[in-house]
Amino acid sequence: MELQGIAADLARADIALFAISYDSVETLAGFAAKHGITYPLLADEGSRVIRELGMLDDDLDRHHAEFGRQVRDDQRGVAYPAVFLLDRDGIVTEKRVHSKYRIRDTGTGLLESALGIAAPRHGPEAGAEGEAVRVRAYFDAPAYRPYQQLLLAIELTVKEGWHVYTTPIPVGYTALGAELAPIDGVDTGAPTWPAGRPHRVEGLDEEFSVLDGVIRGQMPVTFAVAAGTGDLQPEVTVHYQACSDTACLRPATVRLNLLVREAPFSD
Amino acid sequence: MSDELSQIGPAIGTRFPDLTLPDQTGAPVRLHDARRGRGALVVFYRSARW
Repeated sequence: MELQGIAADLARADIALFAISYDSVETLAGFAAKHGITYPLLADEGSRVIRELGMLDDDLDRHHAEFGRQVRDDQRGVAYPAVFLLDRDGIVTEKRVHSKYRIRDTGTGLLESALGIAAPRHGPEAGAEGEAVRVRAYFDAPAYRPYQQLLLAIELTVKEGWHVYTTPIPVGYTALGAELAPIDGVDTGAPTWPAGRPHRVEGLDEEFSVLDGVIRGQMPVTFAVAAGTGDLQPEVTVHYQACSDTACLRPATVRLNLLVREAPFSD
Repeated sequence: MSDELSQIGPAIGTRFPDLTLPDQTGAPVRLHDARRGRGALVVFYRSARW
């Protein structure tokens, strides 16, 4: 598995690495020997832990159907591909969960997530991946000071051949938007997005404004809270509707939980 | 996408649950002990077989 390539980097950063699947010890022993795996591959045969942690992919039929594949009995019990970053106290500071996968994409997406988590350049990220759009959100700093304004970055990566709608938008369609769930003292400004480009759909009179590729929006967030408030867990909700030239997916709502620490007071 | 993926699994800000599972040698590994006070990346993947 591709994680072996970053195992050395993680060791240098003093970050332990564990991989979990529902494979048997025997399967993993063969796999580890064949690929020279040096980190623990944990065998959750029977998926007891996967179930307990809420990581069971219970929508396997729908996921496989989208790629014209039948689900084999031995595939039930599989986990959602996901990456969790824990700090030295074992607290989850970042996570990425993937739902949709193509056989050849999953390894890359997972590795990218692991690498992104292992070498963060900004505040902790939260992300989610859907059929045509991957969404990430992160603050431009890992901690706030009382009355400080941080920028919340929201990044959508739209699959080739797809686009999302933005304003101005005809009635009945969902434009790209985002909001933060209210927290006492946390003031948010409206998000700003890049301008869309005009787009006509064959057979429809309406003109649309669309965005595609990597879309970055940002929202100023002021933490007007008293010193000593501590860690906050803002929840950002992102709305969008993705369409290709031939089909539209249903409007999507993605909720991402972020963690922002209070910066330690210093004289 | 209408499912909320970020709600799946342990939440940010919470302590990752402790778990004990055998590794590829059959030895039991208890996650928070094996971390030895370091941070950790815990990766769930579908399967080594498919």
